[in-house]
Amino acid sequence: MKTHLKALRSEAGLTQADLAGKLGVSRQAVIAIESDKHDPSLDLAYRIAAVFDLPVEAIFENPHRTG
Amino acid sequence: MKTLKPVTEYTIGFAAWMVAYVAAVFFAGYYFRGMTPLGLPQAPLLYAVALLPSIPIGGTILVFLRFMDRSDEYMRAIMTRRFIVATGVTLFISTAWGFVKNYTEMPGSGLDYTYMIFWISFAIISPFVRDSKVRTA
Repeated sequence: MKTHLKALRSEAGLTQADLAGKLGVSRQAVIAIESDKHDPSLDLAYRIAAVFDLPVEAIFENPHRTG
Repeated sequence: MKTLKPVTEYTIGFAAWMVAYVAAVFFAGYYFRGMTPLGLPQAPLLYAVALLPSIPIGGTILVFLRFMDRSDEYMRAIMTRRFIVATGVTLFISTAWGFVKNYTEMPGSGLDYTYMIFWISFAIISPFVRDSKVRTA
């Protein structure tokens, strides 16, 4: 799943460890999501969206939506 | 009371069970040589002492399963995948060992080494299983 998480995190001035702390997950989990090795659960995707105050689809592109 | 981090709890739990394992192995060894206050080995105690070293092995498996349960979703997903792959490798090696033993002069039952084979398999496959996604097509 294509994600803009890395860019958003950098813009927000957060390190991977900072974001992991805000989300309550390991730094490895943040690294895996940013490098497309892990698709987050819906709950984690909502938590990420809440941190950046954005809708989920602004962070993770919906691969099933056309147009 | 402060809760330990999953990895800290795992490290402490695993180390404690390993200490118990070493103690059990030594105790069983001395018992079967008749060198404990329990005297010479005889049933049913003989079977209980023979089983003793396997109890900490069960403990380490419970510690690992709890570690998986307490980890975040990514760690849980990759640990589960590694556990499944390592189990498959262990089943394959143990079965192959059994067949080779049946048809050749190869010593040992292979069963004694199952646990060790599992963890060696786990260590070898871990660097290759770092992706929680099942990629299709």
